Formats: sequence, structure tokens, C-alpha cells
Amino acid sequence: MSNAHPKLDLCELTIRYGEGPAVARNISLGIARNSIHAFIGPAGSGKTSILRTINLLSIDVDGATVTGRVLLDGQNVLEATTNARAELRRKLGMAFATPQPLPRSIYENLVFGPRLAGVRGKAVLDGLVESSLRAAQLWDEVKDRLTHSALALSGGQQQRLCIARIIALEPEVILLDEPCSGLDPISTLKIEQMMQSLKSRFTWIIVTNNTKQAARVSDNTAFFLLGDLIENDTTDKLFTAPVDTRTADYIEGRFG
Amino acid sequence: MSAAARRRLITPRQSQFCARVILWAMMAATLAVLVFIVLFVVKRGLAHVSWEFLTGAPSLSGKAGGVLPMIVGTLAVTALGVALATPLGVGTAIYLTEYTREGRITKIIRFGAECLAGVPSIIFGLFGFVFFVLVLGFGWSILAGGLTLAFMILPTVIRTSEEAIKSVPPSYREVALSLGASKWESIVKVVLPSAMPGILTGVILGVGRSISETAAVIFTSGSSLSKVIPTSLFDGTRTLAVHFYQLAREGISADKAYATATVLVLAILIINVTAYAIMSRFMKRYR
Amino acid sequence: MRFRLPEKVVERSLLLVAMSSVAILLLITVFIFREGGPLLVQVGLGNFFSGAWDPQHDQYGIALMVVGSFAVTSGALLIGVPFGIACAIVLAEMAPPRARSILKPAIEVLAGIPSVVYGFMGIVVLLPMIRTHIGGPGASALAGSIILGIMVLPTVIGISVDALQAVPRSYREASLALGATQWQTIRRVVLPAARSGIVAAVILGMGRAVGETMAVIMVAGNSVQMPHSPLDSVRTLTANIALEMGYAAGDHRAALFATGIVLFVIIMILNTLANLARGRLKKRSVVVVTLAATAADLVKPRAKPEEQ
Repeated sequence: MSNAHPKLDLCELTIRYGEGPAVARNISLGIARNSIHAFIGPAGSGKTSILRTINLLSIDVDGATVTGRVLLDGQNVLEATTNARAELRRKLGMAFATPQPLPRSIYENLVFGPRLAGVRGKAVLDGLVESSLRAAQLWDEVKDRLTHSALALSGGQQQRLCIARIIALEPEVILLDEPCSGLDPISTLKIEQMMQSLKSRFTWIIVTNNTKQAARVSDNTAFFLLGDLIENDTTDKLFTAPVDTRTADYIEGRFG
Repeated sequence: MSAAARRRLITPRQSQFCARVILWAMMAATLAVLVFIVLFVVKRGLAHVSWEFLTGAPSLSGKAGGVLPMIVGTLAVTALGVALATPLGVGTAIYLTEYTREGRITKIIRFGAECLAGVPSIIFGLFGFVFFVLVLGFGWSILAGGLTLAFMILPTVIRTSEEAIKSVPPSYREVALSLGASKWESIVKVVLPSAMPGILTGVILGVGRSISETAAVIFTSGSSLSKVIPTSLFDGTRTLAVHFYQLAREGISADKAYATATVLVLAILIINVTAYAIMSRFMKRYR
Repeated sequence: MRFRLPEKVVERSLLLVAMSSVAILLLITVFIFREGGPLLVQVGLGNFFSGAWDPQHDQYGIALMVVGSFAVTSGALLIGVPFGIACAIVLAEMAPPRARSILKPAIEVLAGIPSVVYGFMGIVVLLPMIRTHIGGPGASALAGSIILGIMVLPTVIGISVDALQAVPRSYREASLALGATQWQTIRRVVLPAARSGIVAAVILGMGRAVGETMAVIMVAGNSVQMPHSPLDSVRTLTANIALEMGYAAGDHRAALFATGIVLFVIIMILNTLANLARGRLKKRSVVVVTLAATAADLVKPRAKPEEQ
């Protein structure tokens, strides 16, 4: 994999919680612009912690200690001041394993982020709502009930709403933490199609337990095991000719 | 040998039956006493509660006339107390739940709030009398009474707010943060709105306590019978509960006493039922 | 970009707000002591606790009021604690969920009845009843105890229910699985496990009884005298303050504040004790030992029914 100027560059990243052992050790990894990068590995491999460190949630919410660098266009994210973090998180949108709509209407969910960013005016917000819902391929399903509670949507719709909510912020990178783990195959397919169609607009990282999903959607794949990065390559290469036997064992389903 | 190995006079089943009967009987007796009190007061008082009673001024030291000035005075001290205790209580709850890990500071704050909750109202009355009435020179006034009540209901507001904030799913905070909210924004825009019903319950309970309070307000707002509605924060006032106390203790008028008690009891019942209805709905939402 | 409050400023201000309850507690302590402390020193702690109360002759001793408070409080606990714990057991262990969802709010809602109304009920119902059926003037330590016994119920019930519900479900299941009846489980597993919480409930109920003012004034008679029977009139510490505050001045008023200090200290001690008791609730090891002992106790007669 060759990429001279990755969008996101993780350098010697080590993450630990409290006094415990590191959950991710010395991870160095580049994420190419406008690509989909999959993080795979069994539970406890540190992939979610890495994802949560990229937008600093692991530090601000879980109280993790992090060393190393996370470079977004060459700027170290980890050095962001408290006040700059909100701005940063808008560039690094994140969707969680279980869909997390806020307990308010679909419309209010979508304008929550833009309003915090200072976007005003009904026409502007309405436009944002429509364009982000269209991007997430949800517009046709919900356009007549924007004022209804977001909690009334199905699981798959909720997850697409959450991604639309991120898109409304016009982020640069979108982080998906096992976004399809609770969804049925059709909803999963819809989300995968949406990612493909939006590849040109954003840089995606998807953490997934489903190796088939990684093979289907991603351009590059990184395989983690017990906090170590074992192998990182183009998805084609990693799935057809893995270098490390542990990678081969995992993608062939011998463990994990 | 162990107690259970002794020959038993009655079987476990029989003793279980007896225990159940006795415990349920005690429960029934307790409820009966409480219901009796309410029914007794309301039955005798309701006939004397009229529009004129609620909207008239008292005369002949309460033997005749109505209780409007007392109702207004009660509402005034209560509103003042709640207006002050709510921001303090909610702020404390936010600090305890969102801004600090359990440690020495939280222990001190919790201990302070718990002690405050146990301080008898007469002590609040004494304190309010010295501090607000005399030292700060407010005199017997709505202001002094309201401030004293604020101090008194603060622990209730803290406790219920803390529980309400804790029951908001942690994921809401993460979502707000991930969408670019600062910590404070995530609290104000997501956590507090979700916790609002619980917080409201605490505030309503505080209102109930303020309305029924006597000892703390009698020394801070005074007990002189006024025929006019108080118009300034520095006016003294006799609250409904204090008025009732005077009527009952001095034996001024049984009818008026029952009527006043009915107003008090019904108000408290409505307030508390509302508070618990909001609370139980709120708890269901997150379960 | 809009202006944002710097997080540090937010945190500092909230800390300041959060300290308000501690500050208020300190403020109360300072002012009560400032008003009553000098007189306590002047009279002497020993004299204050043992002397007679005669403000007209500058005699300030609260011995009889301490006795009065002690009498009505212990009477209130004798009545309130058994009923309170019984209600708590029914609510936490026996009542089906539907009944519980009505009974618990009912008790809590009714607990909001103003104390003056309890006092009034005492005057119009309880005192005549005592006069006709038991004797004496009616207004008495007994009447005070009964009214206070009812008034401490919500405190005792509320905290006891919490303590009982904090006992892990697995303890009950373990005991029931060993063949214990529900009542045996409650008596030997749940109640011992919740013991410290229930102790806290009783202590806080005691605090409530000691501190109650208006209801006691209305039914306890308020004579400054040594009670020889429950039917004698007594004056409590709280009643002493409330009754004389209206007209007291000078040393007399200071003596009332000194009475307040005594009351305040008693309450603080009770709160601290309750806090300690509740802190122990978290030490589960004690509970596990109890459970193991109970299990052994339950199993034995089944294993060797004819021994001894």
C-alpha cells in the first residue's frame, strides 16, 4: 500500500486505561484519503479503542492515557486544547455500535450538530436535513415524518439517521464502530451501499467483527490482535495472500 | 445444636402464614391511619371551603373571612425558595455526576447535603431569624422566609436531580460530544432535557415541603395576621400553614381551621401525586 | 463560531455551587453557635444540662426538656419502627408489583401531610380519645409519641425499603433454592443482609422525631416538669425553642439558641451514625458469611433430621 499523504496517520499510538496493560500497542497506520479502511480483529484486539482515540472520546469519556500521535492532515489531534476538541470532532464524525438517536424528532437529531456549530436559519437547516438524509439514502423513507420521534424508526433506519446526522456536519473522516452489528442483512446492505456511494466525499474507517463485510466494502484492511497491529494492506491482498499466518487463520474463521 | 434442628412447634409454612398476616395487617393499619387523617380533615373542612374563603381577607383574627393573603404569602415564599434552590441543587447534581469522580470532594459535598437534609426545620427557623431577619436586616419578610426555605429544600433538589441525571444513558453524552458539543453543551442540550422530568419531581417535592412548613417560616416571615396582600419582598406574611397553626392552637375557629387544613392537605396531595406521576413515567422511559 | 464558556470556568463555577450545601451547613453552625455559645460558656455545660428552667430568675437548664425529648422520641420509635419495618418488608418483599406500585407512592404522598395537620389531628382526635379511654389530661408524652410515631414512618419505611431492595436477588434465590420458605428467607437472609441499612433508617427516624416541633407542641402538653407516667405532660427541646422564641430577649433568647445548639449537635451525631451504618452496607463480606451460615442452618435438619 503506497500513500504519500495519508488523510489520517496514526504514529506509534499506545492506549491504556488506568494502570492496566495497554489495550493498543505502538500502532502505526496510514488511512488514505477518500478510501474505506476496515479494522478487523477478534474482541479485545483494541480496534474500538483506537477508533475512539481518533476523535478523543477514549480520553474525554473513558479516561484513557494515550501516547503517540494521531495526525489529521499533518496536525496532531491529541494536542488539541479542550476548546478545539469540539471543532475537531465535527471533522471526525462517529457512529456507534448500537444506533444512538437522541430522544427527539428526526429533524432535531439532524440539526443538533449544525446548530452547535453555529449554523442558523431555517432554510439553511432544512437544506442540510434534506441533503444529508438523501446522502444516507433515508430521505424517501422519512421525508413525511421529520417531526416524528427518531426513536420510532427501525434499527437500520436509526443507524442511517445517525450517519446522516454526521454527514450534516460535513465531516472529513467518518468513523463507524461496528455499525451493522445489530442489524439485519438488508439494513447492512443499505449501509454498505451508502458508504460506497459516499466514498468520494469522505474518508471512512469501519471497525467490524464481520470479515466478509470488510472484504465487501473496504479498500484497505488492518488486522489487529490483542492490541497489536498484525497486518495492514489492501483488502484484496490481505484477504487473498496474507503474510502473517495469524491473519490467515482469522479471516478463514479458525478463531475469533 | 442449631436453632433449626430443635423440634418445631409450628412448621415453616405456618410461621410464614402468620408472618404474612401480621405484616400485611400492620401495613393496612398504617395506610388506614394516613387515609383516615386525610378523609377526616377533608370531610369536615370541604363544606367550609368556598370561593369567598379562598379569595377573601381574614377578619376577627381569622374567625371570619378568608385566607387570600396567606395563600399569596405562601406562594411567594415558596416561589422564592424554589427559584433559589433549583439552580443551586441542579448545579450541585451536575458537578457531582458529570464533573468529578467519586473522591474526597464528593464525599464532603454529599455529607453536607445529607446533614442539611437532617437538620430540623426549627433550626432552619432559628438560623433564618438570626441571619436573614437580624444580621442582614431583612426583618420578618417574604425574602427571609423564602431564603430559609431555599436552604431547607436544597438537599431534596440535589438528591432527585442527581438520580435523574444519573439515569440518563451515558451514550447520550458521547453522541453529543461526537457531534461537536463541548462538555457543558452536551449537559445543557442533551443531559438536562432528558433528566428534566426527574429534576421537576424534586422541585415539586420542594414546593410541597415549603407549603407545609411551619417552624422555619414562623420565625422568618413572621406570624402577624395581615388583611392585605403582601406586595413587597420585605413585607412580612403569615403563610397558610402558620395561619392554620394559630387557628388550631388558639382554638379560634374550628370551621376555619378545618377549611384551612383542607386547602393545605389537598394542595399537598395534588402536588405530591403530580410529582410521583412524573417520576414514575420518567423512570419507565429508561427501563 | 459562537462564544463558548471555557470548560475550566464552568467546572470551577459548578464546584462553587456544589459547595453551597456545605457552606450553608457551616453558616448555620456558625450563627447558631454565635448566638447560643456565649451563654453555654457563662452558665457552664454541666449546669445547662442539669439545671432547672426558670427564665424569670435567670435560670437556664434544659434537663427536663432533654428528658421530654428523650421520652417522646423513644415512644415514637417504639411505635414507628415496628410498623415502619413491617411496611418496608411488605413493600420490598411481599407485595406483588402491582400492589407495590400503588402502596409505595400512596405512603410517600401521604407523608407530605404538613406536621401542623398531624398536630391538629392529635388535638381533635387523639387527645379526647386518651382522656376518655386511658385518663389524664390528654396532652401528654403518650400523645406526642403516637403522633411522632406516625410521622417517622415515611423516613423509616423509605430508607428500609431501599436497604431491602439493595440486597442482591441472588441471595434470595440461593436461600429459596435451599428449601427455605419466603418468610425464612426474609428473616434469616434478607433482614440480616439489610441490617445496617435498617439501622440507618431507625437512626434517621430518630432524628426526625427529635427535630419535629409543631406537631409535638400541639399534643405533648409542654409543661416543664419531670414526667412520671406516659400520661404526664412533657416539653421537648424543640417545643421549648418554638414556644418562647416569640417573646424572649437577652440571655433568655441566648438560652433558646443554646437549646438549639444541643438539638443541632444531637442531629449531627445521629446523621453521622446513620452515615456510618450505611457505609457498612457496602461491606458485602459480612453478608456472605450470614448467607453461608443460614444455608448451613437450613440444610442441617434436612440432612440429619433425627440428630439429638
